Amino acid sequence: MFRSVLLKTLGFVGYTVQYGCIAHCAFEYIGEVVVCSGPSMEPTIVNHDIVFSERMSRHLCKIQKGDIVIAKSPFDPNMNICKRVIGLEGDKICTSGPSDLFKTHKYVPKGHVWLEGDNLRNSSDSRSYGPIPYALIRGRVCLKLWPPHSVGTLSESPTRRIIKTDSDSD
Amino acid sequence: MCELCFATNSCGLSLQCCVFVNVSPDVNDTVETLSTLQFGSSIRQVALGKATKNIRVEGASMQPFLNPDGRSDCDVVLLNRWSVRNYQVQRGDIVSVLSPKNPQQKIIKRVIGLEGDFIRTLGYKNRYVRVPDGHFWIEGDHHGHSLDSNSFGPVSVGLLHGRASHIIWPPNRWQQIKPSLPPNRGPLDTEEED
Repeated sequence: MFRSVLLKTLGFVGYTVQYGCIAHCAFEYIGEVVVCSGPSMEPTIVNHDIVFSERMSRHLCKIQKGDIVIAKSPFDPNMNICKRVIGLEGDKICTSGPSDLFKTHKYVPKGHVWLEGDNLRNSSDSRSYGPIPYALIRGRVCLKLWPPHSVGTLSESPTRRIIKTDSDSD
Repeated sequence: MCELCFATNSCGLSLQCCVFVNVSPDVNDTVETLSTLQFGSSIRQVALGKATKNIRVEGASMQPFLNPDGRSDCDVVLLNRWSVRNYQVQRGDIVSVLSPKNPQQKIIKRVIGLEGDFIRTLGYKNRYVRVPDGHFWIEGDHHGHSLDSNSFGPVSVGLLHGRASHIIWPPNRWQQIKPSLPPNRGPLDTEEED
């Protein structure tokens, strides 16, 4: 009697450990489901949308311009931010507003990315704190799961902030 | 051995609290990703730096105590990832950080200042720097041969990867790594701020 209970408990613990490991690897290397809050990515992602973010392209360094990524906030590592990649390392970014008379430009340093929200008026992003290290990126948002009428892939950037260059093709 | 350690590291075993990292100063790129720790046995202090040719020259010049038995100098430290799950570090800790210059690379440095500290820099663009919120200031012990905050500025705490807690290999220098700041380094006026 006692022995069978012990065996059952051991088996249960073993299964728990196994599934824990599998779940951990899945979250670490495949992806996770994220609930977004905040207005900074409207209209692409509105408040309380549920999206799926995959981790592989971050591990393989396949993040491209125009992707929406989830990154750790550079000022509070426990907080995550969801923004669109506007420039990769070496890209030239226009840092002045559309109404400014003189355009100012800035180059993104090595190993960094330039992130901006789609809602340019209501978003604190690289325009206020500068480029962030690539290693802070946690994953790329690839699918929208909720609400049901907009399930599917995400739309392109509505802000036309991404500067296309000829060197993008290679 | 290095590859093996690295594979363990990338298998997602951060559920375990510990990862082994090989810190051999080799020219090989894979090894360079893990950068170097050079352990000075005489003073029990850790000289940290980037794994480049510089360090190899330095390693040769420190031959008597770095490489006592003539083997390839390869120190193994235990990185504790569990203790940094809340991003809590203290000044003087040796931490491994994802390099802000190259996301594939991890660097091992000593924490000099935490957020809010005023730091007297060594060769940074400003003479004195206040470390912004959510950042820390890290330096190698080997000034001038180390790619650290003096070249890329304060580092975001989100890049923190682990804290070196023990020297595992070679066995005659097996010891716990205690947090200690190098002399003359550290935040300015901590007594007045506290």
